[in-house]
Amino acid sequence: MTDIAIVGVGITPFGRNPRTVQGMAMHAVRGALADAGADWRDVQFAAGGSHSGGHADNLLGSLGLTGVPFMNVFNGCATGASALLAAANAVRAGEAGLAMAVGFDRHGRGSFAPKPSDRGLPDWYGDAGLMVTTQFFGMKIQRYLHLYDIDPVVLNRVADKAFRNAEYNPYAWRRMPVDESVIANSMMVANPLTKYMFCSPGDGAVAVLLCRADEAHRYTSAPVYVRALVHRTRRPGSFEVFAPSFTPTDGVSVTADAANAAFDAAGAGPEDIDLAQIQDTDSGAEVIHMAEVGLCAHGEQEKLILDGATELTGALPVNTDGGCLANGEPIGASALRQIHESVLQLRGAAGVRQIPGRPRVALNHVYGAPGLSACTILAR
Amino acid sequence: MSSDLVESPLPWASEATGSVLRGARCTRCGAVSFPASDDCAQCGGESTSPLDLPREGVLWTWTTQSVRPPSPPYAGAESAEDYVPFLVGYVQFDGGICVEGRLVGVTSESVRIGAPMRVVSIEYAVDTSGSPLETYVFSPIDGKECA
Repeated sequence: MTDIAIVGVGITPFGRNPRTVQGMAMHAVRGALADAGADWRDVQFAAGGSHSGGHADNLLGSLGLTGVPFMNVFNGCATGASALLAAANAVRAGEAGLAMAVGFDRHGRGSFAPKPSDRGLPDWYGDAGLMVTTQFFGMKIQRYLHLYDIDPVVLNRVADKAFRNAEYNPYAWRRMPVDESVIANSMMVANPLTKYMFCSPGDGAVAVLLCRADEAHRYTSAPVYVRALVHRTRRPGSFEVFAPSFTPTDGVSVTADAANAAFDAAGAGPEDIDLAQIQDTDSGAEVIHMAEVGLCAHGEQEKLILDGATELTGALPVNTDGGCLANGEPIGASALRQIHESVLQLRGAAGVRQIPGRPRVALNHVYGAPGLSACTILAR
Repeated sequence: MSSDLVESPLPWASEATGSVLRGARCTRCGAVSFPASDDCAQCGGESTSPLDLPREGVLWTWTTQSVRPPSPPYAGAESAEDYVPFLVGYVQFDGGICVEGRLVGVTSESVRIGAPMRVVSIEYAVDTSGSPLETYVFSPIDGKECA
């Protein structure tokens, strides 16, 4: 299969961004074009998406109506990863030399409030107050801590790490370190998860440019190669958000399915991963997903996290830019934010938060409703 | 079926001593759904038959809903100030199916994973027209210790 390289990345500040939604996306796209030394007229395929920010192809009115094929993507937390997949496939198929993926979003305060009918669910489920994403995350980590006898203090540490990492990320939203006792004693949202252990819906935009690996030198001296880019949806037995019922099956996880397939595609294993960006909708999600993607065994997280293994200076840095916890969750943009951060780290261009040891391989993982996951393995 | 059962238009039925959840079983692979589904998510089968779930199970996991859920979709008309936090969880029944629902009769301090729970129905709020809103919930079974 044709090797794909990422040759340009662009981002706009996350959180509460004063630009219009379209303006944020334009900022990211122009950043990626500048990064690659490319012109919009060079882009031969584009895919993009937003959950709440309108059609991505509206950007063409500002970028220039070049006639480029533009695919709108609407795929929840995997929107950016799906746009990346579409762009990579267009290059692999020989339909485009240079292709772009863009993701952006803007959300108001408070948790998401989807309509039951939009999710194929009966009205009584929403009526009774069960259609709340935070409940799922609380229940999943509650069971997990019980099953593997993990000290809940890890939940404080994960959030604490996110804010400390974000202090060195100029594009992050929450850049003030928060004392672990403040995290632990903030409002209990969904036991055992407190307010500071949840990401907040917010603003953000990221764009990525790709081309064939053998053409990457035309745009950059530091290409980052896409070794695997895999999407999966849930199988029976996996515990998912917005599920009135399910029959648990040990070991069945959409994240594990996507990660296993990604490792197979890359011809690599978890031991090859130098850093990871992992869906951290909440502190518990980072803990659970560490094992579900295969970076450790179930139950090993307590020691790894408390010993500092997932810190910037640790053996396996996780969410080096502060993750969703410190950047917020603009649904359309989050997956590409991970890609942006991993590209910077692999280039050795992440500034103060650059992890040591010249990292070679990065794993990127997203998870979202109603049970889908995407895993992307990048290497320099 | 007991003649005392009061059928709800919703997927449960109630009587004085408890409630029963109305599910379905795939006629091909036997997978159980709740609420009853015409199709089977397990095998893609196109035929299911009605199945009442057991009235008792054990708590599989739980959490809290500390603030009034976003409304819509939440149907309760109480204000954020009048809202009473509740616990929510999954109860696992024989055969393995876990069903999500509100919990009553437990607190964050007393609730235990593995605790025996039974299905009952409550009026959890009134809607904007003042009509009572009913749902099935899970309640601890007094005197039964954790499995």
